[in-house]
Amino acid sequence: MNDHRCDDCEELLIVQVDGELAPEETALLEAHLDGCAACRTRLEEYRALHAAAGAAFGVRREEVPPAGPFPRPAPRTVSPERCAPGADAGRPDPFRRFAPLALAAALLLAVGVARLLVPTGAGHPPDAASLGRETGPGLPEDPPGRTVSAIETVDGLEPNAPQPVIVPDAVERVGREDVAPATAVPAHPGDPSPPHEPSPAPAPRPAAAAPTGEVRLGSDEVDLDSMDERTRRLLFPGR
Amino acid sequence: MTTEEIVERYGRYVLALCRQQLRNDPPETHEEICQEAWINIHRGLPGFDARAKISTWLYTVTRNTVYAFLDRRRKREAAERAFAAPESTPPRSDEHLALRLALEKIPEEEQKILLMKYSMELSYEEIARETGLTRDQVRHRLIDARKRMRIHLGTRDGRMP
Repeated sequence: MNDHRCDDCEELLIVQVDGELAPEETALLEAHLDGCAACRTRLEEYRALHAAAGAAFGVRREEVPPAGPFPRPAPRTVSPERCAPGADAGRPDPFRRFAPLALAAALLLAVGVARLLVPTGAGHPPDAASLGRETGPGLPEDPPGRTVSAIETVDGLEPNAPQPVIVPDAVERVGREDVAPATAVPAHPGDPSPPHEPSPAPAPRPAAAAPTGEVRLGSDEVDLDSMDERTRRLLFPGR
Repeated sequence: MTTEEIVERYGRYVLALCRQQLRNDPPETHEEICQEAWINIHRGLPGFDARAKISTWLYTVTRNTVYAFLDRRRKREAAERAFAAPESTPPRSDEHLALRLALEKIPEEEQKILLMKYSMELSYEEIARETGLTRDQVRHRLIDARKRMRIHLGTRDGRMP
């Protein structure tokens, strides 16, 4: 028997399978099923369908593949008090905090730019010709006859004393042209080893060939008065 | 709601969606695409509009993940077919596949509710909360879904496939 009551009953059958039937609906359905074999058969069909769908579409928790761990953004921890108006009243102004540093950086930058723009001549090597004519800035004239110690000038044992300017190039020229060949001078004072044999060429000049005086290279003292004028000016300009 | 909480609550639903839409594939593929769907869900969670139902959004993201996978596979297989001999694989014909085919033929909204009910074992009231429908609307959609599936399965004579 499949009349309109059975059509209404079909909906109750499905809900009954789902276990969602209200008590009054359950009573109504049971009353109908008692006299309708077709609906009892249909009820079995829906129970089978429910079980099959549960098996086909159901998922056990252990079947779910692991998902994650997912990277989580760092939570923002801003307290409501900091968002309130006037919350920054007691805090130092960041601009004022770094203002001295910014001022110092600006001054350094200005000094650097000024040094680049203003020509000072610093950094240019002095030419050798001018060294013999001019006295270095800040170097006072020495009294005539002063003996300058080579160790003093090289090692700077007297830092406050005026330092003569020695140009290696000029020394080289003087040594070749005007200075008498070095006599036996040990490499180190107190060195017992025999002095190094001088090479035969160029032929050594006799000591008497030196224009004036005697300059003993390697000794600690140089007699400026006994030095040739040109040599003295080249080696010790301004003396 | 964090991704971990969504996985805990909807993990079975997302896997059921993958199984349904990839019904001819092995379980390994279901799990692989399910994990890919969760990555997409995690990435898209910051942009999720909280006014929408999360179950609907999960359904959309999962479906798009499956479609992207099917598209990739179709292109890869087309490239492989160009160099390999054709291979015929008989279609699976078990009870689960018949049910999935029947589910595929009913309206999409009924599919979602039916999968939600069976995968997450939710009551009418819980499905109503998840979907935003009323309890009576859920009840009627589930009734209609079963009626349609029964017709598609051909169980008028009382036999299940």
